[in-house]
Amino acid sequence: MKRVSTVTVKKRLVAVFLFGVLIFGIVSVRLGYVQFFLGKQLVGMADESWSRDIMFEPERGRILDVNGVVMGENVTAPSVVLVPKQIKNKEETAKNLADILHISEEKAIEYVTKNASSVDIRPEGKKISDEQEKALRTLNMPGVYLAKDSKRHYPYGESLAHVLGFTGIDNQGLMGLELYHDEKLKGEKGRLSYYSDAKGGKLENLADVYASPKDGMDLKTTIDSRVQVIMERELDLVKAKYNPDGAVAIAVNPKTGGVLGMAARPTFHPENYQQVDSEIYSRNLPIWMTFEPGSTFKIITLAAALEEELVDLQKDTFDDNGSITVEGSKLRCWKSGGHGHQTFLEVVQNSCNPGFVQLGQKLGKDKLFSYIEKFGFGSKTGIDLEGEGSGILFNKEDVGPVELGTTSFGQGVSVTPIQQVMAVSAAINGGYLYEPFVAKEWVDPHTKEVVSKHEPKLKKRVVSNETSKEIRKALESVVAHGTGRPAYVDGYRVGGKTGTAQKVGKDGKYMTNNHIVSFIGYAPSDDPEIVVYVAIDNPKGTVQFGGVVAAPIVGTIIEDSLSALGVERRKDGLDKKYQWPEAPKVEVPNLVGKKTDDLLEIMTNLSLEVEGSGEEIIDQAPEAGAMVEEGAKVRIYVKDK
Amino acid sequence: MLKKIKNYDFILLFAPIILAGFGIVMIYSASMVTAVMEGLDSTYYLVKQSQWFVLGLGGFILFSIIPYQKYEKAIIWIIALALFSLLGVLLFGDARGNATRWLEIGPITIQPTEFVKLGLILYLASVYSKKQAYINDFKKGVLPPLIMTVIIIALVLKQPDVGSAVTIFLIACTIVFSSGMRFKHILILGGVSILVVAVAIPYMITDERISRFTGAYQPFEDPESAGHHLIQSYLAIGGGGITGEGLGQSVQKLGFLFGAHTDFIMSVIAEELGVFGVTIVIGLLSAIVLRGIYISIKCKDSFGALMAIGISSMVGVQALINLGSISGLLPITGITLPFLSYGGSSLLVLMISMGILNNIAATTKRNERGQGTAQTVPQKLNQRNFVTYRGGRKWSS
Repeated sequence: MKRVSTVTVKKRLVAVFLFGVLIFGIVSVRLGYVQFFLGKQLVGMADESWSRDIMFEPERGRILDVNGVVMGENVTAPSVVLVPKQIKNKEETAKNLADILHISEEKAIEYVTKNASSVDIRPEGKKISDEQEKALRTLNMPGVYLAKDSKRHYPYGESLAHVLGFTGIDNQGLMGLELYHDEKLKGEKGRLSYYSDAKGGKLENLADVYASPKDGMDLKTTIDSRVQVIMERELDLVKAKYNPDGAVAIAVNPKTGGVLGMAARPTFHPENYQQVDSEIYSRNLPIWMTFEPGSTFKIITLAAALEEELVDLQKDTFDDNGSITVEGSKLRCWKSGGHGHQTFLEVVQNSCNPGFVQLGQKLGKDKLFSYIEKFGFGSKTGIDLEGEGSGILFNKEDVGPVELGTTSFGQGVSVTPIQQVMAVSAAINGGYLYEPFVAKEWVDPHTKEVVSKHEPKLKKRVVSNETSKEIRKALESVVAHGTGRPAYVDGYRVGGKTGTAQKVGKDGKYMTNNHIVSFIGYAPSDDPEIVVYVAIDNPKGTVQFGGVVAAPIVGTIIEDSLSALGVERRKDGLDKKYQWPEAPKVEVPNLVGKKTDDLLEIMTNLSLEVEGSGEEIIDQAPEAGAMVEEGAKVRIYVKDK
Repeated sequence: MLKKIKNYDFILLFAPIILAGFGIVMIYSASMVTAVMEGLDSTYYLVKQSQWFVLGLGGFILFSIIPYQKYEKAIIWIIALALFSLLGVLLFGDARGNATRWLEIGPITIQPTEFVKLGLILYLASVYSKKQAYINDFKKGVLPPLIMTVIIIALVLKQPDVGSAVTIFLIACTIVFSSGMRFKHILILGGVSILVVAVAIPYMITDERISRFTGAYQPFEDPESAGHHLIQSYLAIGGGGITGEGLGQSVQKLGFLFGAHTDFIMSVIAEELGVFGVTIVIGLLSAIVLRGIYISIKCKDSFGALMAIGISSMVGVQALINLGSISGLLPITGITLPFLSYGGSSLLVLMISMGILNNIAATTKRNERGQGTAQTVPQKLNQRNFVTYRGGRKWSS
């Protein structure tokens, strides 16, 4: 009996042993979990909200333009801090607080009776206005303190709003540069750790530990406030004149990829961002919006064809009869009837679609698409701003001859404005594709020393110097002689390309009378200092044509910006070839001896008054060679043979 | 003397001393701020715990020398003393907060519940080993000791000290389970216990106890009161990481972690010494517990075996409840970490218990050697075995 029992005891003991091992294992795992996962997540919390340390807020770094002009800074605005234990008349205090801070009385009572050493009133009591401050100081209630605090101030108002972004109630970056570079801007909190009893009183016989706050660094950007102001002004004019659905403008230094200016409509005031829809402040259109680029994309096709030596702009010619048929699909030129017989330089000047289809066909699918990717389309540019889009390209396997054709004149691909700007910069700066950037230097706010500097980042070489030179020549002639004439600036040798992109509607089809018109220009052509892109979404009350709407804006921005930047005007550029509507005098051609049938072609900018009847012209007034106003009357005398 | 030590178990000899010594260091680190906050000298808790440690060392040595079999004769006095001390607490106890757990005897204050734990272990071990012959008889063999256990638990609950009551209950469970009684009876007892607890729960519930539970399982629902201690414990443990903040560098002990030198000493160890410190402490604690169970298995005598398992479970249960509560597995009950937490009575009882366990270990080993060498030596009469043989013979009779 006893022996059997002893065996049972042993078995039981072994069971207890194993159970003990199991439980120890479970507890150890749990401890490990707390130590490595749970606790880690909470440690940040311990530093701030739980700690009874006194925190010292660092000064957030300022945002400066390239010349040190302040674009974002801090202004003091006090915050209310309650020490409930010191509040004597809780009800009256709560009532006063409710009145001044516009909170409900129940909430105010909750705050003043809270069991904590100090209480913040969020968000109503943070960064209060001058009037509120005055009211609180006048009442001077015990237990109600005003803590020094600061809020963000943007002296340029709505200017550069999307790029700057804004900060939240705790001065934390929420959008734009403020968010992207928050780590460096915000600095480090300082603290005074003191040994305290539960009531928050200090214990004198134990040493304090003080760590001073580290102010955030000042951010010097590549933005030039002068260029920015010009761009904002132009977009304001656009808004007043055309009431578009949206508008973007970007200016970049093609030599570095540094952004000189970036503006968008609709916009907002960063200090009152809550007053607009979140869509407006969260979408930085110049880097977020993706759409079909239209003709500006032809620059890429042109660059590829030139780099591959598939075309000689002067010698090779193309006959445009208004459309080109690819696999049964008719791809039309924007000009009905076509441009007729032209050199390829004229194809570029006239932005002739069929001509570019032929260039695309010469390149072939693989080459064209490899250039498109090389120029950075289909992937983010890597600009140091939040919310960049990457665009959409055709899946290469799905590209047939039709898609190849449309892609070569900018349809069927979807790109962002910043991608176009960087690609065109690469095409005209000698072939260097840069990564765009805004943050140029980090400056110590106290010593003004430059702590770190962003060097321009070359991504790759896309075309050769010679190709780039030819592109510049061609694009300069587009502005001097072709569709880009309204962007012409005397002496600044502007080059550029128009774009009129169709928008895809909700039904998946192209919308009628709703285009994004754009122009991308650069200057001066011999040594480009600035690339400017302007796109206007659905301008109203005008011909929706890039050359008509966007080109003159780019011209103005370039002219004003370059003169602000101190770039000298050139003397050796191409002269502008005038054309209606702004043409001054025209020379009256010699019409004597011509047939009336020929007149349609010759007399596009003069009106005719015909005397007599017949087909042959026997006399004219004024004489051939005379200079007259455009559209002036020319009287001709005709008679039968 | 040296030869005598040879029979002792080295783990059980050194692990308690290392743990208690380490505990004193950590108590100093964790309590200096608390002490100053309470208006005491910053070394107050260090000095007190050190005094108890010296006393504990004495008890440790004394009880490792006294042959454990002798307690059987005194068992009636031991259990009587336990009952009286608990009654004494209820009648003359020193109330602190809302609990009456302490008894002042001259200059010192003791917590009788700690001693009662050991007393009950000795009592149950004695009774069940004597009743081994009829352990399968429920009425005669199983029930009588349990009535005593229930009385003791009731007295502890009256203080009230739910944590200790649960600890005592679990220790008793372990001994009862190990005593070799029929599985059927164990199931009946388990069923009855569950029933009693189920009936008792509505009477036991207070707002504070509810908040202990919600605090453990949803600490973030109410981070400022119910979940406060646990969150502070998490912060301490999480702050430590692998290497810890360094000895004396705990931030949480600066008034954030309530009971840093008592219930939450492990959180401070984790914060200051990281995984390194935690591993050493858990390693030593589990070494003691598992070694105790091992000795219990080895022990030929059921009184010794049940005593060993009881002592092991006392250390193990308290360690697990404590570690479980600081890591959020169990509600916070006020159970301290054996050997490390501040508390004189607890440390003294644990050191005495370790003395007893060592004596059981030494006795068991001696008996084993006595038998083992008696069988092997005649076959291999070489020098080394002869020495062992001599040693064995000297102590085996």
